[in-house]
Amino acid sequence: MGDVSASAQLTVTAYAVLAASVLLLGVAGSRRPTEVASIGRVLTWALRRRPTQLVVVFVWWWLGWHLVTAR
Amino acid sequence: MPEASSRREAGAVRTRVGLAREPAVLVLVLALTAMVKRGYLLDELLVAGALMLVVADAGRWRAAVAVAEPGPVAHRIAPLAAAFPALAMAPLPRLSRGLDLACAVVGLVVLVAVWWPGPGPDRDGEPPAPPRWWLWPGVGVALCLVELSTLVHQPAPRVDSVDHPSLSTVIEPVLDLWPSRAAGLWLWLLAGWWLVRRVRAWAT
Repeated sequence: MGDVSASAQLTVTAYAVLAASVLLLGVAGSRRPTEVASIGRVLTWALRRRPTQLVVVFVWWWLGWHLVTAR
Repeated sequence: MPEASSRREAGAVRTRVGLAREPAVLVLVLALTAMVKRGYLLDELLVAGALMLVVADAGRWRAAVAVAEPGPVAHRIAPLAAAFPALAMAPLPRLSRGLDLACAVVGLVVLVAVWWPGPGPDRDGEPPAPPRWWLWPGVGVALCLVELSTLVHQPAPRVDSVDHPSLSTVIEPVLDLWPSRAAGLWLWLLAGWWLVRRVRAWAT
């Protein structure tokens, strides 16, 4: 049982670290825009390519549908 | 006529080369592989459909890249406009056909808005990359790897592992409450609004 909860804790910790990274990058992007680009700037740059536009829109829609409908 | 035919042929070759180098195609193929492993037919069809859209659209864009910086996105009306559908959708039961249908309608509206303007004019050169742009996709790839690990550890397709919960399993209890679901839907709709404005700005 100890191993089981340790694995689950590790996975949840990984999500927490990733969430903290997003937060840190967001703060860095707004405070030091010349050193770290904000998510909006990076997405805008990535969206210059047509296939990326379609994939980003698809990922956006699928994530919303998947999370909200629990499918 | 032979000139037009050779132009078409050159365009088709450019399209094939563009698609072969296209990271978006690779991302969708990897996603399709993961969905096949997950074993949910609807997800498989959705990813396959997205892949087909990208391939079909390739004939229109022919590896064109937009260069001009799009104008600022207007935010004033969006928060209010997104609040109405979010509040209408949130009370619907999570596993109901009604919520599926509402999400499908949102997706179709956005798809039409994005598809309609097309890929934009051909331009030479690429806009400069933002500083340390790779940090954001880096976080995304790390999240995909953790999700992949949860998928590999599942005891059966679509049955979450207790030891390796997926992100949706972790946030499930939060989204079970309708106010937080309304907040999530509101953010989702705002993000969709932002995406449509950006894509349409590139197309002009």
